[in-house]
Amino acid sequence: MSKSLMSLIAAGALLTFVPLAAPAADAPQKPYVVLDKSLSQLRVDFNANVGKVRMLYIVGPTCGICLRGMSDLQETVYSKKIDDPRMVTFVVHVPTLGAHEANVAPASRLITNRYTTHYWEETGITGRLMQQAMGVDKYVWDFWAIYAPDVRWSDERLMPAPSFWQHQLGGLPPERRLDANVFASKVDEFLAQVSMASATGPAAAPPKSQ
Amino acid sequence: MTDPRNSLLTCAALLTLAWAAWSSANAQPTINEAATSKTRDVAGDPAPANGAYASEVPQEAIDNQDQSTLAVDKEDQTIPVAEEVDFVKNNSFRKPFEESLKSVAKVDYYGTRYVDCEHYPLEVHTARPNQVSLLMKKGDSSQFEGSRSQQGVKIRGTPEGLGVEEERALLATFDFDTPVLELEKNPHAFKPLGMQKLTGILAWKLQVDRPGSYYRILYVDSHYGDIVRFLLMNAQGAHILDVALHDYREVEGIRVPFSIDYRGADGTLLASDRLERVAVTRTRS
Repeated sequence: MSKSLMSLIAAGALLTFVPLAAPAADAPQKPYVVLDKSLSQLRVDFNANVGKVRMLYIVGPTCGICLRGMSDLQETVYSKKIDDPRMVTFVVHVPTLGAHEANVAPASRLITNRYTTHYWEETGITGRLMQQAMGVDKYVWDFWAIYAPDVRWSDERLMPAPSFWQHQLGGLPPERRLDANVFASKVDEFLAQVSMASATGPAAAPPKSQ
Repeated sequence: MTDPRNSLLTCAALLTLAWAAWSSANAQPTINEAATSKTRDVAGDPAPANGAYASEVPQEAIDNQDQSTLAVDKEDQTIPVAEEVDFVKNNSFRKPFEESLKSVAKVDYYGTRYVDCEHYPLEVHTARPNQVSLLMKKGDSSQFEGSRSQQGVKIRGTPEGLGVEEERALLATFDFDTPVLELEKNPHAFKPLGMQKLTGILAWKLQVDRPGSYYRILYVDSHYGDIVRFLLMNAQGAHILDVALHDYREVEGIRVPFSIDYRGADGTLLASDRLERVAVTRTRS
């Protein structure tokens, strides 16, 4: 066998076997997605799930009251509808109260299910865009929104206004303070608009497989 | 006739492609596929953000950028939180109860201690400042007594369910006031440790330091401000007792746990107290 042939075989073998070792050497994946300031990934994800009920939460990952909100919704919404494909949740962690990216992973444990994605957005523009969408004069965070199945995020510079929302902020209407039971009832109302078949059909976004 | 070199190369290439396909099919994404189409990086990769940190967040919502008020301990289940003590003190649900407690001079508890299949009548009498006495009747002529006063902790007899050291530690660390009131009076005795999810409850964790042989780690319900659990530790940090308090009820303007379960360091249930009656005595105004 010629030298060049041996080299080619060796190269082929290397190409074959090097990837086998590669995954083991990889660092563990983050349990969240890092967004850039355009929020383009969030918009893609939002629109990929038109036809489902979508929840969007803007939280500070070191804010105890935000964490309590997540914990409450885990109890009232997610633990009672384990992996319901008709609802998709986006939890955007923003840098309020001095939070950094390192704080996202521990906080993200509070809502965990197949159809929830956590994001870290380090400029905090998410709160600004929601402030704009809501037409309020206050930076919006600790904010809990539901979007009806037909809502689409069309304008990349303008977040869609929520179909229903609650908050835990001073300066916004007190009757809209987060009440996990009320929020769960609203989720049910919106879910009634979506059939299980449509959510699990071929057009549906595949769930994460962790 | 086929060139054997081509066969070998084809074979290697096929193996490579086959592995790549297998690898892709077996990938374990941590986010849904809709979210993976663009940005999915691994720990350690630089963040793709294209703006300055917190540049869009108003100053009043940033606060603490150096994380100097971040509370966390070393437990895996702990979630770091900012400004924990302020949040505990400012619990709006708690405020009416705390104001009410300030005018209480004595609280007397009457109930039963259950140990395995046995049960014993129990009385606990508490008074300001941090006085407590416990009486457990064990039969016609036998009883256990424990008390704490300005003269220290005194124990007489043998307790049921808990050991003498455990009873001593409970008496030594008794606080008449709640953490909310204690935080107002003596904030330096409290070390915020972050938050932790218990069954159905997200709790604030606070370490209460005190002179002497024991200290406590409190778990405070983040909605109601009730102590739902505490760990008793000795000065060396060894775990002595795990106490769960539940069935909180309002009694004459204060919140009282009507059920208390005591577990050893290994999780074994040692005893359970069930209260039947609570008497609140207020100071004369």
